[in-house]
Amino acid sequence: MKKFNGAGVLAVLVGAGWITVAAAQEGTIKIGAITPNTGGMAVLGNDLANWYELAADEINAKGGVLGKKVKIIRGDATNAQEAIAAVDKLATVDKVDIISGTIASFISQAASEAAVNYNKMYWETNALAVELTTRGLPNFLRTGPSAAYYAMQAADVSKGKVASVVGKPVNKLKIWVEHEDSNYGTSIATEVDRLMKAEGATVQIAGHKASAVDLTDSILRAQQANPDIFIISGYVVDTHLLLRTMRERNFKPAATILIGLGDSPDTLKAIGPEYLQGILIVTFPRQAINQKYAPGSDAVNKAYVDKYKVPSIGNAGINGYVGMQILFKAIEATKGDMSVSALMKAAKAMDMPIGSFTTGYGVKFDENMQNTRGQAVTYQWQGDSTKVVWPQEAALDGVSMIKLARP
Amino acid sequence: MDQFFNVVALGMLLGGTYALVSVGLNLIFGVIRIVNFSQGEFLMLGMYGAYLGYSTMGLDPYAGAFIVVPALTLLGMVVYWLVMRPLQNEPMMQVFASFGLLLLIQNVVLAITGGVGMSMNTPFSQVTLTIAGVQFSATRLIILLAALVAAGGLGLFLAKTNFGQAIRAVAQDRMAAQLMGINVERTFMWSFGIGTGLAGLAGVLLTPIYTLSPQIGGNFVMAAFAVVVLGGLGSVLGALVGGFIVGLTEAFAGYYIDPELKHAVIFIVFIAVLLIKPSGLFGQAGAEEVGLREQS
Amino acid sequence: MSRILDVQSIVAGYGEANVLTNVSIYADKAEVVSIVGANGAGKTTLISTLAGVIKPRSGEVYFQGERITDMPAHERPQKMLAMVPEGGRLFPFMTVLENLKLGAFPERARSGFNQRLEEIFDIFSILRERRGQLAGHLSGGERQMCAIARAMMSRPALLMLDEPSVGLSPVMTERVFETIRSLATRDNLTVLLVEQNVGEALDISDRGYVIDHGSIAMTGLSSELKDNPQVQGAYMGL
Ligand SMILES: Nc1ncnc2c1ncn2[C@@H]1O[C@H](COP(=O)(O)OP(=O)(O)OP(=O)(O)O)[C@@H](O)[C@H]1O
Ligand SMILES: [Mg+2]
Repeated sequence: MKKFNGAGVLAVLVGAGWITVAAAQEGTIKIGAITPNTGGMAVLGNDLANWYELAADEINAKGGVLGKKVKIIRGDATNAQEAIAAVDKLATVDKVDIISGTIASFISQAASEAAVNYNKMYWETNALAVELTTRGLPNFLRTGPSAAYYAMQAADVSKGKVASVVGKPVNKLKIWVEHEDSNYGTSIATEVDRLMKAEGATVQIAGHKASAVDLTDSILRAQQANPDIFIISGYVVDTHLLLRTMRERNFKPAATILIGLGDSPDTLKAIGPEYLQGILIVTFPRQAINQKYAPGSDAVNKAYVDKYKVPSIGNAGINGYVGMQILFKAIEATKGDMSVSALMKAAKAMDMPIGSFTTGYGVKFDENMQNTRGQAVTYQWQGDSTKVVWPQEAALDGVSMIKLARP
Repeated sequence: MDQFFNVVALGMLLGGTYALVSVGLNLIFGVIRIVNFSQGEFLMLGMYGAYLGYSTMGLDPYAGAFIVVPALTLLGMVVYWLVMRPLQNEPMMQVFASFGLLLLIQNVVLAITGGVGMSMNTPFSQVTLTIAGVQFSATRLIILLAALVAAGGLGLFLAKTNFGQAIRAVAQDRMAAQLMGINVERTFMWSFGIGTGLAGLAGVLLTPIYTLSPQIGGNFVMAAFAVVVLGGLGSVLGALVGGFIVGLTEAFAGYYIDPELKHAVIFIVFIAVLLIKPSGLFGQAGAEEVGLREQS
Repeated sequence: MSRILDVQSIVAGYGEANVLTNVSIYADKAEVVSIVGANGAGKTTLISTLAGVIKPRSGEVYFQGERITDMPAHERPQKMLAMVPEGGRLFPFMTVLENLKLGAFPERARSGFNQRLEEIFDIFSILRERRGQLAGHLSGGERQMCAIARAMMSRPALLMLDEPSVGLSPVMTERVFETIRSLATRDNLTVLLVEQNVGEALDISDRGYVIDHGSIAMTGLSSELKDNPQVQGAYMGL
């Protein structure tokens, strides 16, 4: 018995990092990952952290970054308070070099501000709110698209493809944007409004509460306006309710575009494949995408399944994976200097063309440190899966936008 | 004008939803004088219960009601007995406890489901009836009927049966009720159970329409609080009429004014009614005094 | 004579404090017993304890030979024990008839309800007229009558009343007391009458207790108490 106790103590010491830390401190790059691992966003949060770890595994297998191993340390945060506490812990206890995240903008906001206090770089890959990069926070940048890029993609697909499928010139298009009335939905709607009005289209935007018990009034009003393109920028519950109400009221706009969601098995289950046929979704690039546009995305999706034994559930995880790869490139550029100023300078200097990464992203940061080459793409429900249909070069060979009007 | 009757129908159907959600809340308040903040969570449990039956046994939600509603009645009774009853001399603590239940139930469901939105897509949920150009969704129509049956049934039960009379007696004066030989704690337990069972019924019937989330109960219960105050605290008829007022107001304001402003309009109607009739439309003037009288 | 109620050395109170320190009383069949005392003496506390609304801290209560010290309040009406609380405590949003129905709530009292109702209406004829009216709309005297009638619906062996004369005119008080007296005689009913209206209470009762600061200060036949100068000085303003 006594013998085993000794071994047990040793195991505990190793587990607690007493021995490994001393040995490996020099050779490790520690990245704190702020994601919700519990609560309502746990599925998405865990998925994102999984993708970060996959990126770390892959680079470690190739000898690490500048010969150092990359380690992802998870910090659970489901709200602003927990985000601050998680940053405190990552910075002081785990002594991470850089902090990354996040699924939700309000968590990102609090966590990145807390990271300023510790002089740590906040490398945002996933949160969407436009305001995150316009705050002027010295330690913050974003590698993935902001909500404005969703709006840009929605406008781009409308004028580049949908108009011709609908059979109208862009300046004759009637567009209705139905958005949930928080900052998220509203900012996308106003941006689509601005972009499409500039093209001469007629645009109307209308808000609703995401928590509304009934949205028939919104649908009746939209139906009355008889738009060619009906765009929904909402959360899951209200988007599903709108789609069900559209079906119930026999509302068939020539094209329907969902923003940020609606390509998941949840939606398939809620609405059924018949009604979903032809519906467009603007979201992060991830699967069913042309390998020339997004090199290696099929392989990396397969690597995820091999590692975690389940397919990735979120639509945003691979976007985080790419964000991590961009970070590794930046660290290489600073020669291992992990200070905020060095990393920001290196990021600023990066110039990689579209198509450099597995999501089709390139890298070029604007003056607010928003990556301008992290583009959203447009999917379409075809059969019981979604396929990329825009931009044209991102679509798989032989895939094109199918007839939009639904039965 | 062509949409007028559609909007009326919409308001009535929505009113049925609100009425059904409010009846149980109002029963619990009227009898036990607890503002049950966890009412929405019992509704949410009803939804998940229906979903569970549907996804594991292929049980139609309407059939599932026969299991889910008794189960939630029982759960409500157990919750009353274990949580509320020990606090019966501290009404404020009961309100806090109901708020604690709200957090507990939400988080347990969150932990179990991991926050994935769940939906069912039954053929029946896609049926709409068109009568003289006016559209009715079949699922909502069933909810409206259920609201009428539940409110009518509860009203009859309270007026005509011995046990119903006992519940009313306890609501009006629990000490005097005790002196009549009525077991007050058992009456509270049953009232709470019937109230949560009705929330469960509402949840089950709403399941085909919504994508489930652990927080969804709050969407319905916010309106239910307005309905209950508007219709009159403790009044079954008030819950019904209050439900229709809120439903119709919401439909008209949403269609003719702006969906973003409908809650503001409901609030204006709400304030206007309370200015004219502070006890609510069907609340008995002074009923609140009876409730708050030092009851031993 | 058979003993209906036997209360032995009851201690009871609220919170930390004891209100009743050591009270022993009894009542025999068909007796009217009055309990009188000043404000705050502990009269309500005493009959609330007997009704089971308050739990005694020590002592025993026997009713018709059965120990009921720990019996919950709601089981006592079934055992033929009834109480009319101060002010009557009718159910205000129910009709007179519904109130009377609730009086017959105990299992034992449900059979023969209609016949009992007729008897009660014969005694309280005003209630027959007011049967459909909301109890909250009755006058003070009617309310008190209705509360007594409601308690009588359960055919009790012991009727306890807490200050039935409160708020009533002298004429109305007299009518209520007469009714109580006649019920006792007619039904062989034992009555425990708590009153501040000491003179009248002693007039209609057989025996009396004077309670002071939570204990029994004096007891005896009502006629003796009424003539006692101490009682007269302290409670009857003579
Ligand atoms: N619920 C209570 N909590 C605490 N103390 C109480 C309570 N009820 C009564 N008391 C106190 O107990 C004492 C006896 O009260 P009780 O009501 O028994 O007197 P009473 O003889 O009925 O008086 P009255 O003639 O005014 O009705 C008083 O000092 C009173 O303040
Ligand atoms: Mg008293």
